[in-house]
Amino acid sequence: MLSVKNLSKHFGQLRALQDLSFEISERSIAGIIGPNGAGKTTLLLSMAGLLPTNGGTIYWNNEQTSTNAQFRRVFFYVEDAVRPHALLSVEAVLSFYRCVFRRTQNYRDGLIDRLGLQSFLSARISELSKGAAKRFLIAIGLMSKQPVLMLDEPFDGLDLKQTMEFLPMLGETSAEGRTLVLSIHQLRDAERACDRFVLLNDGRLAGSGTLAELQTIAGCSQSSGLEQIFLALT
Amino acid sequence: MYSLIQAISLYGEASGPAVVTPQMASGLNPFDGVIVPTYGSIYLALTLLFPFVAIRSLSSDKDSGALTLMLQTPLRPIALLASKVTLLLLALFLAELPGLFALLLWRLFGGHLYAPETLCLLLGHFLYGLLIIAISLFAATISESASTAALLALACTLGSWVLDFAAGGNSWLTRISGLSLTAALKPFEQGLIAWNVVPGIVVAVISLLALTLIWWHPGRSLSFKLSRSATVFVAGIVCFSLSHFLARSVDLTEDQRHSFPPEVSARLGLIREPLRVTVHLAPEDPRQMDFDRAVLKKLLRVLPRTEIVNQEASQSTLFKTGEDANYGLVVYEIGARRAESRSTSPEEVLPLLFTLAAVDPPASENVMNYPGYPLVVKLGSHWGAFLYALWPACSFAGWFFFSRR
Repeated sequence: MLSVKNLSKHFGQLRALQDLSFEISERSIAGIIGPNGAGKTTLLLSMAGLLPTNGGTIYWNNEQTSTNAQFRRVFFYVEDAVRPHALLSVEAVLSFYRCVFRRTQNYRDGLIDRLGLQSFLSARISELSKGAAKRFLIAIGLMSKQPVLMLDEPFDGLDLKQTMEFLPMLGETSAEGRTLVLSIHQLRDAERACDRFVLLNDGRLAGSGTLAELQTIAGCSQSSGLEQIFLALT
Repeated sequence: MYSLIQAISLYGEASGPAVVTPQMASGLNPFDGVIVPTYGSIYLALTLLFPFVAIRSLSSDKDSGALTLMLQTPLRPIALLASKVTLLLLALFLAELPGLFALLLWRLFGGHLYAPETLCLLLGHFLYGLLIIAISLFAATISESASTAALLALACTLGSWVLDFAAGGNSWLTRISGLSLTAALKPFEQGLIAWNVVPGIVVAVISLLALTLIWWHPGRSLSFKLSRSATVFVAGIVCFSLSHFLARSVDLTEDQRHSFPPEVSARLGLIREPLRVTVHLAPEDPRQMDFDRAVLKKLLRVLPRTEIVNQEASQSTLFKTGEDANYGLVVYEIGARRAESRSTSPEEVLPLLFTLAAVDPPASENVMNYPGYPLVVKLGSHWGAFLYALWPACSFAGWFFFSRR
């Protein structure tokens, strides 16, 4: 179980996260949902220990994560819209992360195959299109072994076909025992991919739980989607 | 290559008369005449250009998100930093290649190289490069952008020059300038391995790399970073201060220019009480410079506890009348005994010191006769064109080869 308790983050006068508390069960695919500026990325960075917070604690299986080594052992966060190792080839970088995470060659090749990266292997990261760069980042994320994988806007840049091909991979990763936390601003993508949701608005928690639980909290009908729930809660 | 060609040309001009008159040859030292001036350009490249290379290696990782990813891998941060430093040492080796090539050319032209002093210079450049790497990595870590980091790193390196320039004549600035980057390299350029400088540089490098480790993780709070930095700073200062107790140095020059003859040094070593030398000479006075080179620096190497006070340097020269009766006087004190002299020559100062310390002077002095190595090399214009074109061509080929991979 991943528990976040009273998490707060301020940037000067701006209160990016305000006293957030929620729980995400193990092996689930949780979506951090909210409009632009809601604090999704700040929340993920704080949970991964990559941004100092102003208060709050994070627990993984009832163990507090506070040191860098503990964060590194539990979380792996993949940023959105970055081009890491820009001058190196896709193949070289994926091989590096395969070695670092002690994954097999078959596992790497499988990821390359399923994410459609074969034709980009010799290309430099800086030369990749937005969609290819996103798939490359997802490949790095899936190469990692930490129990909690956090992906920032994983569907941004993917077309519908690529999204549909990627969704089963998320399910498989979850089935393997990993917990996925995805920051998503497209509610339709979130509904398709996630089984739990954390709704954020202006740095505050608007609600958290499964779709059915959120429908009950928001007082919406069972046919209501995330959009109606979000509007009802904010 | 320009430095090498200029140095060879000037050395050749100076060597011309010595080839005809062998007595003049002893003043021709290729280490001072060719090697150190050639490495002067490497020093400039390390000071002005190498920080950009080092900064780019970290700043690009910060900007591209690679650092964030790598900090989350099972690799320990210290291993990541070690790999970064190793890579930069390789780059440093590449930056030093023109110097090594210049040494090879000098040998091919028939020039003389004395291995210990040459290796001393190479060690100095290696340590200086390591220091530049550590400064640059720390600057890149604490800065938001590569350009800010470059400004910070250059403020350190060029600030050293300003400090050296401003230090002349001012005692406290002179002390501070002793900590400048240029001052760290200077003994090596003189063929000296000073035991306080080597650990001093190592301590500075380790401290800066430790600070880099503390500051480069974005998840640490400012208070954590500041408290850990203070600990590193205090530890660094303590170790640095301790390193200054290692006052000994090794003279690796072929002509042993920093040392008295071994018999004299052995006799001076028998003086157990601390010596105090009070000099009434302005620092810019040529006699003071001669005295410093021929006596004081050598004396300090044998008797590290010697206290040297320059009365003229510690007084303001603004209102000096020029009628000071003591000007030019040097006072030597050992315990309650005192002697005065206006001579700055070791031939007169050393007997005076032996008398003052009640130590018998050496029966004989085995004065070393340095033969000197004059060499006139006529470099044709084709050599110049070849040397000027070779390195840029190699650099371009290297860039082209690696950029296409």
